[in-house]
Amino acid sequence: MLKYSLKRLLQSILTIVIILTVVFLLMRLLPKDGYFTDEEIMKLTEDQKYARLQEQGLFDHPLKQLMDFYSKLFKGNLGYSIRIQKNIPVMKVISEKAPISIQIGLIATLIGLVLGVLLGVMQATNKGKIIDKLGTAYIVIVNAVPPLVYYFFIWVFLTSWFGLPMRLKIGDYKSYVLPILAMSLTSIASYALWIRRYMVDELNKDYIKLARAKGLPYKNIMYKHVLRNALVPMVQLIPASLLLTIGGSILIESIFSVPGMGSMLISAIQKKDNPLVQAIILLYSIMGVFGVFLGDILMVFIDPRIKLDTKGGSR
Amino acid sequence: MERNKILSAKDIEITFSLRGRKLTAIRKCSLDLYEGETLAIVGESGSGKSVFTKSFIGMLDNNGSITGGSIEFEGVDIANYKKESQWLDIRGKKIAMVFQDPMTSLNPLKIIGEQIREVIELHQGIKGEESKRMAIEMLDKVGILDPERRYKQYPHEFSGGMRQRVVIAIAAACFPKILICDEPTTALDVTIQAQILDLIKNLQKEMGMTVIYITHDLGVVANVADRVAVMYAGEIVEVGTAEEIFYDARHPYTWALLSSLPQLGIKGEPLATIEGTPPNLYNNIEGDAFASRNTHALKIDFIENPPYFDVSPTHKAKTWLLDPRAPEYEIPKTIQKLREKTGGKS
Amino acid sequence: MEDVNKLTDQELFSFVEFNASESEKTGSSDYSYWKSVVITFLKNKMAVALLIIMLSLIVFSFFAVATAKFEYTKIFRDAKLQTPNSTYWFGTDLLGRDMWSRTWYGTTISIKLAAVVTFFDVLIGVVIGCLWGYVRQLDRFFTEIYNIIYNIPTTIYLMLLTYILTQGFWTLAFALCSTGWLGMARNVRNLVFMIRDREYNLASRCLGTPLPRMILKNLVPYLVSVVILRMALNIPTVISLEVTLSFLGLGLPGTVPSLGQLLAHARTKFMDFPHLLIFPTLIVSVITISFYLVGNAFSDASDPRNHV
Repeated sequence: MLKYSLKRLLQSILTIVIILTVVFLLMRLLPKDGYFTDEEIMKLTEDQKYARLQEQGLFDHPLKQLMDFYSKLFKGNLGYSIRIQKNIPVMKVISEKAPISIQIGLIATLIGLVLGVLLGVMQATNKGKIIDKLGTAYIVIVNAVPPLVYYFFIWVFLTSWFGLPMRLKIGDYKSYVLPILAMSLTSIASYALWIRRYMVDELNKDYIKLARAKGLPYKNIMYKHVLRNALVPMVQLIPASLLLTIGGSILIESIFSVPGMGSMLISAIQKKDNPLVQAIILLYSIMGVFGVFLGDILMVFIDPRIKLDTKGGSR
Repeated sequence: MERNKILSAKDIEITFSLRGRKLTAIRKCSLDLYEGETLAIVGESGSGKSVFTKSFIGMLDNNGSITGGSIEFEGVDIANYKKESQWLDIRGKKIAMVFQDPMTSLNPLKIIGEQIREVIELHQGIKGEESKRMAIEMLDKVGILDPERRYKQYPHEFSGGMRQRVVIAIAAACFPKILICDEPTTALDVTIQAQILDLIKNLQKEMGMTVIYITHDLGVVANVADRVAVMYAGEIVEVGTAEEIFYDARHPYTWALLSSLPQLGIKGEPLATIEGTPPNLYNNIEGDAFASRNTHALKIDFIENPPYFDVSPTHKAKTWLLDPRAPEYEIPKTIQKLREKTGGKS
Repeated sequence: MEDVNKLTDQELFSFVEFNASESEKTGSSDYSYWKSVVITFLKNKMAVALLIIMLSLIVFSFFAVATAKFEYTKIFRDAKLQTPNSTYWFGTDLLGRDMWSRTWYGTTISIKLAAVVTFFDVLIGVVIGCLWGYVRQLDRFFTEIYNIIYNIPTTIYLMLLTYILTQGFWTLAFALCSTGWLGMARNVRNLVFMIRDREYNLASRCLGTPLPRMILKNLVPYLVSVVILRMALNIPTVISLEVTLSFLGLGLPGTVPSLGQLLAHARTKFMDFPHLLIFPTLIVSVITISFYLVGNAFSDASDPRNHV
């Protein structure tokens, strides 16, 4: 057990390191303008700009830059924001914006999980009937249609129908409702789809045949055997989905003007604030990897069949 | 010896609809089951043995149904059951089934003990510690050592033979009247096979169950069966006591089955086989289904399906050879040898 | 017991010569995989209807662009924000451009993008997938790559890429392709694994079945159904991503009226002028839902278990 956890942890760290390096290298391709303010771009001469960049080590050998990067990273130094908040450490900037993203992300995932599983179970136990078809229609719409479309719809119509605010203000809980709702829509669809699929898969298995032959009633089989067994692989999906949602649906933050990490990223990109862009992307990637790692570890606890290092390969 | 008929199937017809076409898997089968006996149903793969018995507990696939005949059990014609709730009264409680593959028959994520206890709680209404105790007792009865500890273990911690014992424990836990074993030993080692058969025999005696074995292995039949029914292409072509079937078989198909036992082969000579393949059950079959593969076929076999002819009060076969108008025939050499070898009557 | 053919009892009860070939006659199954796939698919009336709608829509969009009265970039200063009328069938936008041509042009852009990306995804995905599955040593390597790429949130990655490279159709296409092939490759790799490990393939090899025939009969049916399914689901994904990115200002350049741009455009004004929103939304929804459902229907149809 411990051996497996350790192995997965190391794998995750390796993945993160690789991502970091790749992002870092990609960042080196960023437009050089991103390192200067607008003013500076106009005022400084080419030479001055060059000098400044050199100062920051941007013309050093790539490997040296990499080393510098990692050493700074370990010291917790991710650079300074250039454009958004001049000369304030990136970490500080992010930490101001993160809480709201995390808050609504967490709640949205929770709602998504609960409602999604409920829907999926209802669909599986009433397979073929009207509720199954409606559920599937819902899932199709949410998955096929660009999220922007229904986010827009919610933003446009539900705000006026229910008299809810169109912009999220921190502290004003009424304004939290629609963004969270919108964010949970895709989670609900995901969880419903997966749980339904897992349950239907389980239904075809031999041990269910035996359960029927034992004389167990349908409901009993569905809940005590099929659902219970289907929840096990679900566990693996939860942490990853949680962390990604926490990342803050960038689109939602844009539409509802949520002052979170997602909007921050957009501004940073639009304003070409390289260090900030870099840091946020790093953060998202780490969260993603960590989420998957958590999921794997959880699986070991929940599934009695998994022993030590029987799992390998990719999802 | 007046025995009770515990289950009586008459003229059962079962059809499946597949891609718009109809397949008649069981073509008018009748079978009587007597209390306390061990009946073996033998036949090739695809002869319909499993399908026939599945209809006794209402577990035909979704595209199949009983389209004719009756099954009388405890005074009710269960072939008429349409609702799931009716079957729940029978399954596991009065008629239980043991399936072929022990490796996949158990819920991998539930402890063994719970899977037995479930049945006890459901059918006997006993809950809590009492049902747990009974489950452990059952584990002990099927020969699992250290049952208290084993109770808490998961299926993957058991070997194939032990899992099958657990499946038997589950089936027998509620003292069913009839136990149907669908090829219970096919997936197991030969050494384990004997143990499992003994186990079932003992349980049967102890609990007074009636057992139906479905198998294609004549060795198993010789070991356990009181009576034998031979199935071919969805029909029961011959039925009788084990002795009668082995030593006085009358149907050419039974001869062919017996002849193909490897034990009867002569060194240096090719083993006996049955030429050809079973008929396509999508089509309507004219005459005797076995006719085209029958080395002792009569012209009438191709025209009309023979009725049952009685050989003795307990033995009948569906072959025109037993008709008084049939010519003299020679019993195949291999069958003669079988009778000689075992000193049986002819 | 009557004699059906008026033969005497004696004749009826005479032995018949055993005919070995008669005994083999079973009537073979007339099951043809592809025929069953098509039949099962056609039984799904909704999928067929959607397929027709979707194809007509696509064809029409190109037709509409070619025959549009007004060019999509032309600004009519005095015709700003007109609701649909007889001159401007879909109305006009903020700057006075004809929404009809813009909407349909945007549709064609989305379709073209989806087509290009899907084409390369399939190409790269299948090739790499085969390699991945066939050469055992590469498995570890590719699996690691898969894990890495899978863990980077797509939207973020795309935003980053468009940030670094200049915005444009081909940038977006490239960005989308660079991660899109993964899913396809993974599926193909799993298939190849199957081909090696399944026993019926081993049996075929033992019987001396030539490799091309094995590939044709055992691998290709699976391959085709997987590829088509992925393609069908890929398209809504691509369109979604483009819409999202363009809306955020990071997709296609502002001058190109993609569906995402149109929605972004409508952001501020739609409340009073819903026509800016309705048509792009409707078209996008119809296309994406159709592809998704048709894709799923095809996948169901190609599963032999459904050929009942």
